[in-house]
Amino acid sequence: MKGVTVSHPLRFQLRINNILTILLMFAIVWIVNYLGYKYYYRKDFSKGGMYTLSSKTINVLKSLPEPVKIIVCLTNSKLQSDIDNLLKEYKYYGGNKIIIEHIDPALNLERAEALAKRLKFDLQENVIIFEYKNFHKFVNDNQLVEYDNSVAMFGQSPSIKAFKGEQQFTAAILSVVEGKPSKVYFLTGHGERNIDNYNQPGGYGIIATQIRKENMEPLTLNLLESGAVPEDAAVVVVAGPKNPLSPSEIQAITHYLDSKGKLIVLEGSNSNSGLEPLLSKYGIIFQNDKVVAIGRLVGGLGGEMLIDKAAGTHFADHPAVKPMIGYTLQLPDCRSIALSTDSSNPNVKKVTALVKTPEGFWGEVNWKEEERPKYDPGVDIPGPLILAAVYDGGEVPGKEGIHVFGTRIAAVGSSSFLANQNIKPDGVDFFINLLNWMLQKEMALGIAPKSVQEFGLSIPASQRQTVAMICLVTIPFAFLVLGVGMYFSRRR
Amino acid sequence: MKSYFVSPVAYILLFSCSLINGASFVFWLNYLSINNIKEFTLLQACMNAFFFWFLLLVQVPVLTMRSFAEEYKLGTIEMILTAPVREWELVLSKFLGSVCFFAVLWMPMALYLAVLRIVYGHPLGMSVGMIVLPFLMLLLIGMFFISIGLFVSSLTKNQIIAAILSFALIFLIFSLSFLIYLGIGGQTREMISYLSFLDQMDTFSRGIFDSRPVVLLGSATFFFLFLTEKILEWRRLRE
Repeated sequence: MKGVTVSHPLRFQLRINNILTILLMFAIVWIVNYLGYKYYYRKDFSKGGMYTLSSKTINVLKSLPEPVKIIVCLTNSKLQSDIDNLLKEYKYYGGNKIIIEHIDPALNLERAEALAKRLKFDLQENVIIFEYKNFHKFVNDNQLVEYDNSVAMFGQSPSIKAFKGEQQFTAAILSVVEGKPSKVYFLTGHGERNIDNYNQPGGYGIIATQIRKENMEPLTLNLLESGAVPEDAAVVVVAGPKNPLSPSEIQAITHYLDSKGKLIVLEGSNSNSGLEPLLSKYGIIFQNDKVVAIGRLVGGLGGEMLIDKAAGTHFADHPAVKPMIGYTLQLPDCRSIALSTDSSNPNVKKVTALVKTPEGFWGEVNWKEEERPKYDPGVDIPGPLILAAVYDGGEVPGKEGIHVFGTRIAAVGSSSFLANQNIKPDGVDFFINLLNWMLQKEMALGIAPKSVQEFGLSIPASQRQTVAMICLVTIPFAFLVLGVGMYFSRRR
Repeated sequence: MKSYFVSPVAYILLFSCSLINGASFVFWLNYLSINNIKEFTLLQACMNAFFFWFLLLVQVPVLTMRSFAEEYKLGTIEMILTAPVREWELVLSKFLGSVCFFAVLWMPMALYLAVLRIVYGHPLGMSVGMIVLPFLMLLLIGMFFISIGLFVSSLTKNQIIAAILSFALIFLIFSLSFLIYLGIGGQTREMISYLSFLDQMDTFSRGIFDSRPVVLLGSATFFFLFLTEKILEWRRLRE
């Protein structure tokens, strides 16, 4: 080959030929990569199929009518890699119908601020936003995991027990694709908390914004004007009425509940809705007290003080409050709830006490009269007290034989925990979970949370030392000795 | 292949790499055991650590710098090319020799895991995919880097220049992975993510197989080997 004499013009032609071949090969490689990028194959071989999507999710993704944009706005989330890898699976099955955008506030503040201004959220939050046309749903990173609080008693921080990423993401996609947001009606006309009030301490403006982030629409409802609960009502909320409802309004709500309605009653110690007799038919009894406790002053002062903010620390094993286990729900100006014991009432079995206080709290009956309330045995209600309860009518046959969820009622002994001045993340989570349970949003999907992969090593120190000897001495020096041997054998 | 194992430089490389690799392995083994960390595997920790990438970036230029540069310097390339051997056969044989030696360089890592798993019987909590896939990715990245090293070595007869140039080129391509941390969004981010070795290794070490890096690294390796072959042809025509 080397000996072939090539004339100069031919050599020039061969070189041009070489350059063209290189360009052609580059084009081929480019096309292969373009196709390889567009049509690819992914398979999850991880332990327990951590990132494998359920057939339900795959069907949802394959039947998306138009693209869903997923905006990942994470500042300091521990779950970043898990979220990214899960979203890659969504992209794999959703193809062009899933558009993923990452916005890191630390790196691109301008874009992040513009987004936060447009969608009204706090940049400190770790959120994944699902956007479809004009509908949005926010998923916070702490909604993606279930914690194991059993280690808390040993002073350790709770570990992650399960990853609910798929459940939450698929529910969010379905929620925005459904189009019309679920309508949550807040009753007005009796001094209730106002959802349009963002500035006054007692308003419900902040929680209304949070509800919008869930792709739900908070609206006001005056039953005296409408005469009945609107047919499109997903949930009716009665939040801290000062005056009781009129008989015609109670009648309207009774009719609504009879036709599988969903009702949330938030009634503090200063509230009186007039719905108490109706609720007692469903096994829920609001007691006329105020939840208080005596606490010791911290800092060596040795004194005692009255705690008038109920602390919910015991949560039922119920979908509405399961994520709250390990947290404390603070309910100011709270009254307690009792569950009916009337065995002749079939509804009694369908009631669950959701949140309870520790034993130190009691229900002070004479809280208006007593200047310094104290527990009076036989008069006051002893703790632990129920702060929230739900009635679940269960599944009932609907149209065309499809089973639908029946009447659901939630009663909470406080309305001020959601007021602008008192609102806290725990309170928001509790209320949003309650709403989601009412609407069967996530739970209806039936996508099980994935157990978190754990790779703990329990290797005794002696074995670690042996491995260290192999890694740092045996193998490297074996190579060294071989090298020296090779050197001398070549010299000979 | 044989030339690698008769060279003392190869043993120095084997010694240094196994020492650094071993130190990294021992560090992570102790760190994960003592701190009772359960979130990631030992292999994940080792293959996403600084020392892993440092070693990978440095060892390939050293491994490939002699491939063609020394042949040019000693004048043996003419002898080889006059033999009944085609350019692509020469390139392929050099490539396969380097890949085999590269595999030997990383063999101790698998050996350490085998000691824990087979000798001591620790389950390590990993699925088969989580063990095989990161090694597959390591091999693919190694093949790509080797093809770059061979290409650069075919450009010069100075080994040092070949090593420096191939390190610079490999480092430049590797550095694309970090552009993702500059807050770039949209299509550009997707493109960078496609080219990011860090991202690909993270995905594979979690036990997820993705055909895209396989296509990318396979085609890029082929392209650089093709370029190397063209360089040899070019030189032949020049002479």
